[in-house]
Amino acid sequence: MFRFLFKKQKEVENLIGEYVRSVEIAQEMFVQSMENYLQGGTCNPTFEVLTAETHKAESRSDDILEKIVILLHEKALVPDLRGDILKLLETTDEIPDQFDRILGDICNQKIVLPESLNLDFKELLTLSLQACSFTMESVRSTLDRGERASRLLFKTDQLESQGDQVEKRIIVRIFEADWDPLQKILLRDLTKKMGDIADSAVQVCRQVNLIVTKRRV
Amino acid sequence: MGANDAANLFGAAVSSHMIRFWKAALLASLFVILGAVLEGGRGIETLQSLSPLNLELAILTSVAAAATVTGMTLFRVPVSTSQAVVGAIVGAGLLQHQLHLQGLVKVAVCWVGTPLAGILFAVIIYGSLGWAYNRSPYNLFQMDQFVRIGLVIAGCYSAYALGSNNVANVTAVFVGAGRLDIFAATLVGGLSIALGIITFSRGVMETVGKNLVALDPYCALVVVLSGALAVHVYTWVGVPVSSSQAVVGAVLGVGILKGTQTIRVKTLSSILLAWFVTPLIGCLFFLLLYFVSHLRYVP
Repeated sequence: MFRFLFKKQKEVENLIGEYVRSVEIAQEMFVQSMENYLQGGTCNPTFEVLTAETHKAESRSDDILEKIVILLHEKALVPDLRGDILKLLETTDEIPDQFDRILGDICNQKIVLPESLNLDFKELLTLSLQACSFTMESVRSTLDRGERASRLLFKTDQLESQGDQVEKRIIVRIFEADWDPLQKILLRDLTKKMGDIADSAVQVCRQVNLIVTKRRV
Repeated sequence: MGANDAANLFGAAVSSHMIRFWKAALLASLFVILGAVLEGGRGIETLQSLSPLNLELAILTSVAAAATVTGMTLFRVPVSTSQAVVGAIVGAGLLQHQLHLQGLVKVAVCWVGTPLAGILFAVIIYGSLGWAYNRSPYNLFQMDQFVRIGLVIAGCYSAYALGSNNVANVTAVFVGAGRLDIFAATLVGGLSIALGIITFSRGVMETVGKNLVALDPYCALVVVLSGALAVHVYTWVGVPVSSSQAVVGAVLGVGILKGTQTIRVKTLSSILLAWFVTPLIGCLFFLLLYFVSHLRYVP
């Protein structure tokens, strides 16, 4: 019933679904790129191809976001909700941007990962990406108006805290090692950027939770 | 009158771009006329019974009320047309020593009851609509669309209630003077309010409406609906009341439920002040106009 009333809303809803899928594709490509990097420890031709694929997925998510912004500005929603959804999507868009920046830095700055950091990096990557997966689930749950948003925020927040500890541990190990100071700084920046993924994921979950809570009467 | 009160009808919907101004103005005008013609008679009967008026006194009463509203608006004092008209009629009654005190008390009680009814309806509607809202199977976007449509429907109903209640302020004195029958009075009054909405309401609708939207769309819907119900109830009682005061009451009601301060103390005190000051100024304006109109040039 009432389907005829929700044409524009349905369009926004579908585009948001499409956007989340494209971010997930960017995440998959990022995972493959990072697995390749962790195996070899340097930028290689396969890594470059995967980086290009991640960039493509990131660009596609930007295009979809652009479509959503235009549709929302065509008065598809009440201004209050429109503002909240735009803010949420802009924050979410930080995540694929971060994937793209990390891979770009590895390639452009020729960052070599010492084998001793391999396991710690894997752990940090797993935590950050798990937080991302919860985040995408959370963005999808925005429309449901249910309790799921607060549960996902709690889980993501926990992962982010664990990620912070791993990040700190890696940085301490980097500066304890007897490596070239420039490499140390590059590795520290890379570690921080990997940790930032989980921070962005928490930000997105917080916004979803706020949107849902605000609209509970 | 229509220019000022239109903000309470479609202000929230227009200022948040849910409906274009012209569509809102046309809908408001249509429903104001409908309300006036279908249910405006009771208020007219109440006002004309307060004091007998001849044509001269009717015109002076009308001009005094208009001058009161204009003057107080210029000085940025919140004003109710109903209170200005009643004040002027009281002036005419005092002059003729013919004032229907029982009717006047009924009117005064209803004025005090207007914001209270706004509070009561807001509490009831916020709770019951909220219960349904939280349990509805529709998603966030669909509920958003329901609120959007609800605001337009509430605006139409609010316009209907305004027309049915406030038409008496415009033409009741001319019915009392025997110059218009009730149907003609409701039609002329309804058309006059509609003209006010179409010609001068845009700025007020867009600025005042923003204050309602600042609440949040659901609360804005509750406020518009509660204000309209409060005004409509007094239409059935037969007393013209202030739609702005009904809306302020509704905003206060929402604030009470949410545990937040939605209305400034200054706004509340200005309503209290308006209850006493507006009729007094209306009365004084009438007496002044009567005195001036009876001055004769003696060479």
